[in-house]
Amino acid sequence: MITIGYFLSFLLGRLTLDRCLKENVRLLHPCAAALLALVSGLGLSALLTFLTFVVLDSFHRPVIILVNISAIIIFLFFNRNLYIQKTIIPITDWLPWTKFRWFHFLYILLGVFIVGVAYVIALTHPYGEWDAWAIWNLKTRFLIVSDSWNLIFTDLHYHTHPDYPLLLPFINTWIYCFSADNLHPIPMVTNIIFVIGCGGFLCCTLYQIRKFSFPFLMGLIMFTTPSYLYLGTFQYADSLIAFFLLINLYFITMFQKTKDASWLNILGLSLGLTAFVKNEGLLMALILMFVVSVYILIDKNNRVGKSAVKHLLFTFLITFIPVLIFKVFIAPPNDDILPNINTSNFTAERFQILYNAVITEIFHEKWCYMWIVVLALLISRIWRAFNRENIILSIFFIIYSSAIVCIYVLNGKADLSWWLETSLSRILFSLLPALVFFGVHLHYSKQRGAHV
Amino acid sequence: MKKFLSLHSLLSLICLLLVANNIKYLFVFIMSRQKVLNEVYYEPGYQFHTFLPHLKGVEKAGYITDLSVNRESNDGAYLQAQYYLAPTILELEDINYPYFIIDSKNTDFIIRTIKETKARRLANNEYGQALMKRPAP
Repeated sequence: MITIGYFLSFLLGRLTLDRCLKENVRLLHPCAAALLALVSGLGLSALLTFLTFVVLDSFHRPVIILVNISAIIIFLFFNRNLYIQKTIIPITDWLPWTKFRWFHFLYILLGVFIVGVAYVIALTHPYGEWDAWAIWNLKTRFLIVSDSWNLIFTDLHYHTHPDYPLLLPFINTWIYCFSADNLHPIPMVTNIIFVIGCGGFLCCTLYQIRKFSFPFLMGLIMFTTPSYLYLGTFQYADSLIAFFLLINLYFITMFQKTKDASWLNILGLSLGLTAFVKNEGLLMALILMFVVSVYILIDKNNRVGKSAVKHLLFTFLITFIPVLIFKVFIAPPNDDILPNINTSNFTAERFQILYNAVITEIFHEKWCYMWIVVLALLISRIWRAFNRENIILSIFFIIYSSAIVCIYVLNGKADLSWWLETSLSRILFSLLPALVFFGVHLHYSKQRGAHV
Repeated sequence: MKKFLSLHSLLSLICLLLVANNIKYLFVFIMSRQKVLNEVYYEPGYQFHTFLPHLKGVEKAGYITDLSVNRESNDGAYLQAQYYLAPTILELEDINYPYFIIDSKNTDFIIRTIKETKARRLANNEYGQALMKRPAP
């Protein structure tokens, strides 16, 4: 029954993609389009579920289902001209069977193998790890069973981080609308979707560069790294962060490549959803929003013109206003990070601890040389990092990593060694797909005919 | 021939070898956890399942422990209880509610708490956790 929820989200996501991108949706690999539709649809369904909680204060299954189905019907109505006029988007594009060839079967087999492996790995910790049942799934339970969802922000212990945005709990709550049983398999399935979807999306977009070759194999290396699959099945929000960051960077590169403002429409929606995943997502969304806007405004070769910023801002506000409502009026202020920033912590010793932890993590055998490959990929073409087509991504990574370093070094709330031990691998996990994408993009950004 | 000896082909070959290496480690990882896969996994906080019938409809209960609940050396029992017993809110270090959970293996601590609150035990488990009820005022 829960597959109905995922399917409805896929429909919603696909309709949104078609609405935003129009004929540009054909530039996406069919599998990449399907994964993007599912993920963005889940995000939008979660946002709609959040809005029902704001209005009704608790879980109302029929209302949530009705709101989501209404959204699908509204999008179908507004998209009708796209499908009726077949030269724009024939509905058969959703499932392009005419383009299927015999060797595609091998890719399907590979995909099924990786999904199977991820499922088996997920079964070794079916309820996730510490933060799954102490934060994300705990909040999902309160959303579903409590009389008022505000208990999450007023009464739960501060260890549950009541200030955290709730995209993942709302996704699980939306899917729970189609379940008659316990919550249990839903968080596990959702996480598998995101970790497989992220790797699959990366492989599909890299495949478009040179088919079964170096770029695609880079994605495959990441996709088959045991640590990637293991960390991805923790049932944390980090797999959502990884996926949303990857698709945001993809939309930015497509906008730079095609100079078409339709990519900014979907980018804006995606940035708003990213901001609702975690506080790290909020930071990422704000940095990307700022950097992309400045780029559009000052780029002299900008064919779309400065009015393109309006596209970005408008769609960003559609998904960011609910996040603002959540952060300003509903969630308590964050008492972990900003209040504990102390410049007296800016010491060489803390930098040394951070440096040692990063080096140990990167060269740890659990990553199967993945980080060494990524660093080699980035360093080998580092001089292209500040070319026009790469500058947005480069500046984002510089600002974001600087922010993370500052937070680790300057924040004195928890013991730094313990904090790094419990969180550094997850930070690196969430950045890995985006860095692989960026590294390949550095290599091929000047290649003729490349989609990326 | 030149096409096969190019840098691109060499990089693709290295990537293929790394993929094969990853698949080998995935195989080893799964095989090493075969035993674990057949185990029965209980939901986090299942050790508190006998407390659930008594806490149905109860908005808040207390949770007292002599174990560490700070971030670095926390065994997570309190949060597991909170997860399993939702929507009942468990107030840490507060026993001023009609119901409270005591989590301790220290007999002195348990006896002192019972004497202070005059509570009676409703349910307990083998991990040193018990659900207590204070007498009505």
